[in-house]
Amino acid sequence: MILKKSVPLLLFTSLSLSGVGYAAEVSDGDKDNSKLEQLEKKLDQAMALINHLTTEIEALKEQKQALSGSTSEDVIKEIAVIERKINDTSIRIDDLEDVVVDVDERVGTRAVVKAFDAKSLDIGGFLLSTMTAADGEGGSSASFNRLVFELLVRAQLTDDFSVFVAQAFTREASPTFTDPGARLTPDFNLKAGAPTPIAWANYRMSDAFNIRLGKWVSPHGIVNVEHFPAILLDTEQPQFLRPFSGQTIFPNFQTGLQIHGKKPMGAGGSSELSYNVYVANFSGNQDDFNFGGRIGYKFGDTGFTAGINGSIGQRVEGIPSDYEMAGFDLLYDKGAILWKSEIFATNEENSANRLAYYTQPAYRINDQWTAFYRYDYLDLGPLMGDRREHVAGIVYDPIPNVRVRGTTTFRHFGAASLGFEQANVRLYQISTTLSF
Amino acid sequence: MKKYKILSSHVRSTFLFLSVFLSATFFVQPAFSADYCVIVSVDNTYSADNTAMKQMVKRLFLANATQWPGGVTARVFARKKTNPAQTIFEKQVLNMSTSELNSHWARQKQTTGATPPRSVGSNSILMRLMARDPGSFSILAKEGLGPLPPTVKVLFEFSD
Repeated sequence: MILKKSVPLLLFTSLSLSGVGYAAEVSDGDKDNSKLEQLEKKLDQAMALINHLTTEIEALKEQKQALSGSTSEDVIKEIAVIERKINDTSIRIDDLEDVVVDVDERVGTRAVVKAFDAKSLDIGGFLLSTMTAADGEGGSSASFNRLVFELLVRAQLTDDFSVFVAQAFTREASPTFTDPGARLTPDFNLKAGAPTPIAWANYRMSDAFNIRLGKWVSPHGIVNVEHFPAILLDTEQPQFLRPFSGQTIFPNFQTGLQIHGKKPMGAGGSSELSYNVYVANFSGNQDDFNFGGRIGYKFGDTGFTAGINGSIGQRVEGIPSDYEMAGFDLLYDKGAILWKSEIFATNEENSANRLAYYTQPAYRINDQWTAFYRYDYLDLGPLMGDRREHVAGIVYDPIPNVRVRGTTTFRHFGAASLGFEQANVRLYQISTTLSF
Repeated sequence: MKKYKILSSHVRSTFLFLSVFLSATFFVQPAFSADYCVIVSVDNTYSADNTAMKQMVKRLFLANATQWPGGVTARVFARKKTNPAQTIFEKQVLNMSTSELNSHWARQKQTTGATPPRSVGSNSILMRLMARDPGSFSILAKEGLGPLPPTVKVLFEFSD
């Protein structure tokens, strides 16, 4: 009789705990705290009930033993069923307590950040610091030359609409040269600012067709697309991408409309075709549009990804400065080897044609250490001569969110038609990037 | 003659028995079930060969794709790092080490803001979450699991 009364109680407890589990989802501020308190009260009640049932079962067992020889098969089975249900309920209570503890640890008594209207809001960023020493033929200089804090925010409005913004706060003094030929006497000149390198809204019709509007990284090559220091082996990007936010070969950042997508290809869908096409303005020329794009193909699990790039545009507002660009990029990323190579060439209307390429093999020594080398070539025409760099570096990731680098660069300036002789400069840099 | 016929029928029977026995022993693969499975909502109509399904799940898990074929938005629930289903899934389906996965998510976060999928500890809470979203999928260890609720089904199985 007692057992039959206990079973409905047990079912009631299970249902109550189910309701509690439902209510355990975190939503808003004050409601979260009162829900936590309710959860804790209900957990206490459930534990008290379990203790009570356990006591009853012990009493029944003693009764059973007192009835010498007269055991009921049905009673034994019922006891076994109740014990199993108690065990299951205990496990579920443990799971719920884990969730409550997790939520309580994160929320506690603090206010919860909320988005006005969004399905989700993610905030991240990084802090980059560098110390650079430059040793030129006409002098030397050293400085803690770069401090960049960048905040990254992504809001997922619905499944199909999203917004991504990168807001930077920079204190930068890139190595420059004070001599007329810009190659002998290194110096660091401080510039501070708060640029917004990225701010776009994206509408997804499908994975194969997205519309992106706003300011975005020009979708050319490998390093420009990756461009954030937290994921680059070298904070000094290849020469053709300097200066940051410039347009040595193509504008690093543009504001406009981009259509992009990906489609799985090949057997089992292990390969991938991707594309980006755009029409946009460069910040240095708001009157003339640039058009361009990239088609990329990832070759299954081989580790290879290749891309073909092209664009046309006008470099400077108001004066003839049309250009056409073509380029090719090749990435190999598998196992211990990470190898990036890119080549770009331009046909310029009003200046010398440009050529730039680099190749950067890297070897992942283990999960924390990576060594790399880069050969980097840039030719902006005979006026300034060409430039070659040999960069060797070692990267240490003590934890996934921290990157420490040491690099040494040998830069050679070719002779220029303006009468500047060839020259060499060595640069040594230590940098750290902490991302979150 | 009769004796011969009886003998030959015995021989035939024995031969047939031996053939079947040997075939079963040497040519039939022993049936054993895998230790882990990827589960999806029971409303998910996606179906393909095993290789294609693994590639699809890999793309969705890594946020290289966001929709199932057919257009349903995928919702991914990972498991805690201490759950062997998660570690074996990373090894056998994603085919990525922990550091490769960390690099991948660092790149995704910095370039598009995409973040790793939410981790869920408890199986019972996982089932509740999955019941809410027809595009959801996750990973389970089959040991000690018991029958699945009617809101989910197995997409494919895998082992270490």
